[in-house]
Amino acid sequence: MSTQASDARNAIFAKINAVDASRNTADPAAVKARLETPPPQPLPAISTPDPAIRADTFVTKAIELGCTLADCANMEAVPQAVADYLKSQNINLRVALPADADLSTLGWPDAGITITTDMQKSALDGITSVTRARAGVAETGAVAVSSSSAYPVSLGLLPDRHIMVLRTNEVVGGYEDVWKIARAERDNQGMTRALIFVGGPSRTADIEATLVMGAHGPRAVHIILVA
Amino acid sequence: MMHVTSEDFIERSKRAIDDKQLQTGLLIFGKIFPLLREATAAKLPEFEELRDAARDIKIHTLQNLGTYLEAFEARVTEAGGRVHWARTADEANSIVERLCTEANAKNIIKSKSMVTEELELNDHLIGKGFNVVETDLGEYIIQLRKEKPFHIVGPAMHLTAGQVSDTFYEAHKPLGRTEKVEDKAKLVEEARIVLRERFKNADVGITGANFLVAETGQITLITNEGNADLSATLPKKHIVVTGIEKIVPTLDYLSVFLRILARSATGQETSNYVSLYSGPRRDRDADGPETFDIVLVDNGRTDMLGSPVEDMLRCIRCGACLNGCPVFTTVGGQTYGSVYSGPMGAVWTPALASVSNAAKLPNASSFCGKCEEVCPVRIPLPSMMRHWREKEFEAHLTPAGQRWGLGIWAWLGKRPALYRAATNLAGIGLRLLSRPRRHMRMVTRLPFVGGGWTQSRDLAAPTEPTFLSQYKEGRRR
Repeated sequence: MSTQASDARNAIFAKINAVDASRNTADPAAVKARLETPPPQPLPAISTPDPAIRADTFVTKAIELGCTLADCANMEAVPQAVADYLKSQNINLRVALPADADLSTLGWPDAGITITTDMQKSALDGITSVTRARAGVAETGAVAVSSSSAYPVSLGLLPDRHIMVLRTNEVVGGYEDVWKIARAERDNQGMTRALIFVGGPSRTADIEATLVMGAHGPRAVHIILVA
Repeated sequence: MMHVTSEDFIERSKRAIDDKQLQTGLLIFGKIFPLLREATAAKLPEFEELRDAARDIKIHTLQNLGTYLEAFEARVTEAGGRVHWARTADEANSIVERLCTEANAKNIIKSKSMVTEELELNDHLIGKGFNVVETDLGEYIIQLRKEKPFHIVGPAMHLTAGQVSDTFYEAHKPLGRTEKVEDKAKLVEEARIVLRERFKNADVGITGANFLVAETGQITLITNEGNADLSATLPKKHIVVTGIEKIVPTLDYLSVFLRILARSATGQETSNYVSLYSGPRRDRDADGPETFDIVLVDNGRTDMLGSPVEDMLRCIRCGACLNGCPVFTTVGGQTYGSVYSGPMGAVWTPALASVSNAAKLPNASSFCGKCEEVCPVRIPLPSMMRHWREKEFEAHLTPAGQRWGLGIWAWLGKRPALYRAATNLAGIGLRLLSRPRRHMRMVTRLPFVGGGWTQSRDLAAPTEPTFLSQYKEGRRR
């Protein structure tokens, strides 16, 4: 650490410590306990929906966010569901797939779909990507994704259309359920690099407060819900 | 110290009030956003309870700021990131410059960050020869127009599509775009195409952070456009610049804020991208930056800690207090001469700049209390504006006439008999000057300094008998 750096750090902490000393409200031991065992916070009812309506609530909320959804009987039927969606949108049957065994082993050619695995930034403009999702959040309708070898983050940002494959049993109630998943995957380098809640297509209202879809990211987000 | 031009507040206010187009833009903030906020808040029965929780979390965190910052720093380091500390804007700007130079960077993309506006980081980096491009659409537009943000959430909402069209036409001509588009969707598309290339060619992505999570070392970025995620993912270097007060203890505490932020800001139940980032690309990752640096900025914040304006450090920059403020929604953000405007700006600006530079701002309030009513973390904004007014008075910054007038009033106030006689006399005088108007008497022209009041409105003359004489007679209802 350079002199400037350690000076700055020391000076900032010295000021904080001086305030702490003057009012005696800091409690480092209690803070450490909180960090190790995070106490629960007030939970709104929408974050803990009845399991019987959880998936339906998610679908309703996802539609409110501007997503489209399709049901699918099993993973094997996903390529056909993707083909049906692309045909309905009048878009060529070509998708970018990540190195995700859940998806790459499926019968894409049988559904008439050409696969590209080129993950270069320049190759992703204007295309359709298909990825697995980590969780659907009933509280908001957003889909949680996280960075890994099977999920290049740019695949959910650069393409024009992002199709996410989500199993019905991966629909959870609220944020807290996703924190559980994320904490469980913690390793010696901490949390996954990126954990993103995707709440529908990218949008902006920065010009005259008029909502326009497709600001920087996907113009369309389609969710395939696998039973 | 933050650079401000708030001394000209009154002059700029006069121009803003006469600006018809600006007034149309302000309607969105003054009328539409408060309605959207109320509607989404009403749909969440626990909204008020969550606001209480958010306030308590922030109070607890500020009382234990050092411990939480140390924990955060340890988690960031564990994830392969680096934490840098900056006492001042100059230090913060130099650190970012050094990180960019070390990486041999030329092209920098940025996602919206009020802290970097506060630091004037763009000017610094551009002055050192870097190409810096804002990617939030509103910020991009005002960057091209060399303006300051109009609102902390909607930086370019004062402009018409026609003005944006002119700006884009001029700015994008050198890029070979010769067609002038006016349609809003086409303007967004044009920005998307131009900025997409900037994203792909960027060496560094600079973002702010809405929250820092001490438990996990994650930073939180919240946008509707997804530009922060592109900034955090495509370039080989990700630099986060944010204030030390953005820290929250754990993920469970973070969710409390996620549930109130978008509802308070834009009336959305959630923003479209709510993202948590920690560290650089790992071996298992398919993409992401090679380095991850966080610059934690003090720039006056530790001075607020333990001071009468400490509560301001709870602010989560939602803009609800701006949208509710009768002054902000009349004059707009650029009038304030500070990147932080409205009630929150009237408290932040004197703290980060100085009372003498920003004294006009805490006075730009009718103390109606709407800001405190809508603040998701229940910051007592009016009482803190009052604190700055007291400081202004103590520092003899108040105009002589006002000080003189207040002095006489205080002198009289300490002598009740004299005070009553003087107010009775004033009441008689006002009734003599007044004329009947419908069911009451109004004074249309006051003599001497009082002329300032009746220049733009009438003054109701006090009625008889006075409250005190009725009280004495026991005529209580």
